Amino acid sequence: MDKIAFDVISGIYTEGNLQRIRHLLLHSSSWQQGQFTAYGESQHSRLWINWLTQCGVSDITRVCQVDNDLGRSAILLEMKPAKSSLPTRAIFWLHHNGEHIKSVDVSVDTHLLQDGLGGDSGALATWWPNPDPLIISDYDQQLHPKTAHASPSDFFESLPSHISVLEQWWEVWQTMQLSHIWQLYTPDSDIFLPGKVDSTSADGLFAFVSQQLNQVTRHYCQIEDVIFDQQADNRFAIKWNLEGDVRTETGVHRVRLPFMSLLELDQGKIKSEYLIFDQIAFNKQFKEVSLTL
Amino acid sequence: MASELPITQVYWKTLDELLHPEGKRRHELEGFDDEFVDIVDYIIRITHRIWEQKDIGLCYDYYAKYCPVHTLGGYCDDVDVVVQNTLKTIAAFPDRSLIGENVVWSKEQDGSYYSSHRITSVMTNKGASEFGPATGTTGRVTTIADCVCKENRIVYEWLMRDNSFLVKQLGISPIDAANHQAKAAAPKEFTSWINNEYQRVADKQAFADDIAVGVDPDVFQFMTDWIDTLLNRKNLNQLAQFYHLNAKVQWPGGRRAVGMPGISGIFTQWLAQCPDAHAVLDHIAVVPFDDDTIDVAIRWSLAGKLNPRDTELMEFAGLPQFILAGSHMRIKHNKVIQEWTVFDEVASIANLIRQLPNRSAS
Repeated sequence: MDKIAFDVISGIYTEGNLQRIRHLLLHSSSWQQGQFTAYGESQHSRLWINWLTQCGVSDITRVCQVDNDLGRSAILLEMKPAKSSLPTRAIFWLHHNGEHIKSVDVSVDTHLLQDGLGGDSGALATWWPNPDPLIISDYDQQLHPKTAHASPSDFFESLPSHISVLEQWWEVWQTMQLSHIWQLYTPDSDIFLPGKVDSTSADGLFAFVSQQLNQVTRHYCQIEDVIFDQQADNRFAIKWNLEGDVRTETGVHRVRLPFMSLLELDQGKIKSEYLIFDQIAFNKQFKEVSLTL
Repeated sequence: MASELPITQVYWKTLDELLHPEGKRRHELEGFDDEFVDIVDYIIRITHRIWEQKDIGLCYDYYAKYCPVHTLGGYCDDVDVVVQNTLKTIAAFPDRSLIGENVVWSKEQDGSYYSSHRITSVMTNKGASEFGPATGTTGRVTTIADCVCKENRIVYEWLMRDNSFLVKQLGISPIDAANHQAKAAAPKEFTSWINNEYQRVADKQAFADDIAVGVDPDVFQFMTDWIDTLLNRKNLNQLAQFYHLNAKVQWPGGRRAVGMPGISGIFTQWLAQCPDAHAVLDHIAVVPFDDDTIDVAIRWSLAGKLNPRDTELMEFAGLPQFILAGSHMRIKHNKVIQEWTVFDEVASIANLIRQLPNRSAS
């Protein structure tokens, strides 16, 4: 399924092959894109045809895939759509059983896509899906000693060899332990951040993380899922949220920033990292808030 | 009976596999048509025929002539009305799909089968509906339909639908939808039912005395503890006894959370709307999902006095509020990994509005 899934997913974007993906999806399969959850062939096809109409077919310029033996896969595609002047990146988070795909959650770097497609800044938003209604019920975000918080180790029955790297990577976000950045990355690491075509350095990541954590208050980070590739033994994919308060002229708004990260390790350090965030989906979900990523 | 095939499990099945089950009968299904292999198959196929194939008249074959159907927004007990309501819904949402997500079932003491069917529907609002004039927009909604099935017919039903989530996608605020809904007077049978239910739950009486019979005692205890610890006692520090650290929870109106703090937020904020509320467990069904995971369906009710957190509902403060709810839980190693809780917030608000005649929420 791992190879098939890649072929089928990439086939949608490189040649508009919708028949193959339809055969892999069930009647009850969901496809989430732009924080909108599509069910049924009609809604799925609408998303694909909309993309192909607006972007044209794409060339795949970079690929990274993380699979585990529990039916979870994360596929990163860097694509250069025919109608875009820039490549964009997306991670497809799959739940499958080797025969069928039950769910696909897609996070697209829509900041890059919008820059590449050109036109006015709202053009992409007009055809990007409307996010599902969301209520974030407010809570105590503090890491009290007796409260329970997920960390990467909680996702494994037997811990992978590089778990300490992953734990430290998570502490950068969850506990704002920015100094880990200097130990976790090699000097020549490739770190791809949202909205940027080229990779940045650890310095660039430091600035990015501190900026994100600084522009929301009462922030809390939550891991939703982790995929560790046992065969490759050096790749992790993490699906996680950053939540926090943003004060605007209309009041204080609690927001959720869904991220997908893909890490590739080499000799106990992070060799490459892709962080994907759908800026347009965020803007549509939280219309009264403006965050810069 | 005597077939070694497992009871149908919906999760990984294609639609074709669901509509054309192979093998012999897996449940006794006394009095059911020969074509059905088990109660899951019965529920999935009759739902598909009535709703997706639009064979509305099949309700006459698969519902008892007298079949009480309870929702938070109304009541009927005549199959003719079931047919009429189905037709009206399809007219308002002509492309409504009913995608079976899960069927959690139990065999009851009297030989009947209890099915808790979680459904995802995608539907376009092309005609006037209980929420107002047509909007032309498409929405998605989760429904839990709990049915008692006997001799090929549904003889009792409780229907929970996340209408506040739906109307938001249609561009209608839940309060506007409730105002529209409340313009229709509630039939006296419904008013009588909801008043009796409110009193029953306020008196801490479960729907039946024998709900634990046939259920794994540990699972039954887990779910009664979930109700008592979280909903009644509000011991939210004990969430970790019930949920995995990355549990995903979906509650009505778009409340979605992953992990303990977010789940705590859902309970805190929702319960604060009715802080003196008491909840009771009314039914439980448990089926295996895989080697170390089970699926549990509970039907529960809650009654208390409204403490509005929404300024538009302030004039309804102190009025009795009753909630009819269904929850599906996927439980692994004795902790919830995913939960879908469904009730109708729109109808709940409409019921408040009806208690103050000539008023509307504004």
